[in-house]
Amino acid sequence: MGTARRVAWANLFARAVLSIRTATVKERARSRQDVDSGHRPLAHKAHLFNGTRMRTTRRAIQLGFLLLTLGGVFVFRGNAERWCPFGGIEALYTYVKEGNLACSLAVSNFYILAAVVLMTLLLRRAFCAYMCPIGTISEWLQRCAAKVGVRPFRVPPSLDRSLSVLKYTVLAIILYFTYTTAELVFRGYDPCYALISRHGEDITFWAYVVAGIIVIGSLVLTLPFCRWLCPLAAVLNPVSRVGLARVRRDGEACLDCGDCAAACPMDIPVDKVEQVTAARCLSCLSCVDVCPARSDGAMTWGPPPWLGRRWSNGVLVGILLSCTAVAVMASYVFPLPSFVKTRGQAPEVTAAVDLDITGLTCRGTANLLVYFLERDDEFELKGYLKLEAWPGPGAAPARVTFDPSQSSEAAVKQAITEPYYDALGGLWRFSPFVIKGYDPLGIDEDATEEGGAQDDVVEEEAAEEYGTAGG
Amino acid sequence: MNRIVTLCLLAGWVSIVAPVHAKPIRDAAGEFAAGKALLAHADFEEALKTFKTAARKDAENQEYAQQYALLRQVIKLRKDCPREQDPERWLKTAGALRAYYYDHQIHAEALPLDQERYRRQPSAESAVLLAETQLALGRNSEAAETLGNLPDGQTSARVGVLHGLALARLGRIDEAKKLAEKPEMETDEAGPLYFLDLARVRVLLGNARGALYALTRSFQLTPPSQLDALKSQVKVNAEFSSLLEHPDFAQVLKTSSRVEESGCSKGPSCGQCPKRATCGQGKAQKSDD
Ligand code: SF4
Repeated sequence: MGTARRVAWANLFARAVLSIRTATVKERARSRQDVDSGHRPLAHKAHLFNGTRMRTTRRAIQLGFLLLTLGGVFVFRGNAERWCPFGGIEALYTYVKEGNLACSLAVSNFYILAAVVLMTLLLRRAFCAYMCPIGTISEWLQRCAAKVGVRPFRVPPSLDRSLSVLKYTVLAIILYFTYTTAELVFRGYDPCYALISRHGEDITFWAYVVAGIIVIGSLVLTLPFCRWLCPLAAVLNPVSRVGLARVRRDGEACLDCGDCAAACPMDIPVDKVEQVTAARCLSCLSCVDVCPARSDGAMTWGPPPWLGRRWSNGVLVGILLSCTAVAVMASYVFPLPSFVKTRGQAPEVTAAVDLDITGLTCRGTANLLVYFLERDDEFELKGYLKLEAWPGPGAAPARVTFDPSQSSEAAVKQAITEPYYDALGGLWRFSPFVIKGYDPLGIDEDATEEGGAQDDVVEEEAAEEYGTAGG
Repeated sequence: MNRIVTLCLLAGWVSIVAPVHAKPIRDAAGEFAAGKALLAHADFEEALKTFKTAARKDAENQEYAQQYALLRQVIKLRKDCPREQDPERWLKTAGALRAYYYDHQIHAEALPLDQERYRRQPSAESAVLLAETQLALGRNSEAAETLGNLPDGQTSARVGVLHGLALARLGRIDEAKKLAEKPEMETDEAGPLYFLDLARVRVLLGNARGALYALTRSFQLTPPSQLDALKSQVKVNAEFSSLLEHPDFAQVLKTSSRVEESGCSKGPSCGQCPKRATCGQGKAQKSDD
């Protein structure tokens, strides 16, 4: 990365942090003024996320994850889709049934999905309020709109309930088509994928139409995508319903000001309940933050009494960050293959060869690799065979396990690289795979002799040896 | 003075003779082209050497390496084929060699294989393969005889059109018309090759409109990844030269495929490929388009 770009990023980050700190200081001063003058914040003026305590931490975490995502995508040009928890849901069925994942997904999707489910079990839908880039962008867009005087339109509760069903429909449609086609068929229409793939090649015009609708919706409505359309929310809601931590309201200490309900971005009637059990609670703690009687214990947040009743904000942050860190670490420490295919029964003794293969970019090419491994010509590999692969750009790792009494490492390499005649199609098929460190043609070994010094080598020998050089 | 004159003469002689005897220095592309030219004359061993040099000179070029690996395998198959005892394996080996010869337009090498196949397994299928090669080599009367000898029960749309083509080339127009102009054969199941041969016959029969229609059907039935190659072949094929001036020919060339890709679409990447979910499952990269 160039120095200028690094400086620009640093400036951007510094400005963002500064703006958070400035906002917090202003907010504190304002609330001190309110207390001094005997006023408390007016419920009708309270709007989205206007707490003062958790808000700062939450914004910092949101900013951190947004920068991480954008930096990963645009600066390091990584494949951010492999860290999407919803990718784990889409891939689950195919992975369990066939042992492989759609292109651009990886086993890390499962780890991050497990982490998000665990977070939700402990903290309800905190992932949405703290980590999800779409939630962050949506919320910040509304805040920008509020700055220029656009007030969010409050949807009537009955309509809100009806619209909430939409996300289950979206989930059902996506899962049905994804599981029946074994492909991410909606990827071309997904605005999130359009962003993280840097306008990937299969992105359609409709992805931007959907993005436009979400952006415009976010300016005038409170988190419309997260509340009504997000398929991940549909998956997390049942888990969130039994989530451990919850907001509690002590009726005796409560001043019945209604600030908590007004501050809730999910329109939960916090002021009417003793504890918030709604699955859609984001654990944003805006309701706790705005409570004027918070110090008297009117609003608290924490687990059930047997776990201590109250948790500090640090616990929330700690759980979020540690779950994420464990998921990321697990995906590196236990890198399960994203493509597995087995043929036959494993014998008592097996042998394996680890290869770095260029051209093994995704599930399609991994299938192609299996095609070459299962060839039926003179390079046929007899007996048991298992391919475990981690398709990706560059030299992708793959492990081929075979029966050493019927096959060999050299035979595996030949099977992968030699052209194959497909009798059914009546065509010669070339292998697109290059094995790192293996020269199947025996070309490199005498390449130092300029201008075809080996021309007088008897080519017949070469033809019979079938290149076992290298590797 | 004499010495100077001698030296000048010597220098002049060297400058004239040396380039004639020096081996021309070719780059990788030149070596590869030379290899292809050698292949066209069925000089497999020399072509292999030249491909190897091309691959060595440009190690990054996958095509050179692939062609070298393929030719090396073909040379071995050529040796193995006559010795092969297992009839199934012989058929497969012969098929592999024939595919290679056809890819490189070395039809003369395919002829003995097709004759042997027909001898081993006389059928409409093997007769068609043999007749195709005979027609490619201009052995029209042999092709007409091969197909004409088939019993009535073994004829098919493809047999009819190839037989018609052989007869049309022999000037037996009326017989050719009877065989080739059967509209009930013009179903999609007939395949792109059938329609291509039908277009050939119709050109010979002077039916330009019918030929253009058959060409259109052929293009429609060709998978998208192979369509451009087929159109290029049609444009340079002497058999279709009379169609080039036809006002509808340009329109026919714009025909797009109506069939799904059968295997790897060979697009720039998997992202856009409509077959990416099933890529390689029984199908893989095609070698020659
Ligand atoms: S009830 Fe849940 S979502 Fe609503 S403000 Fe409180 S913590 Fe946030």
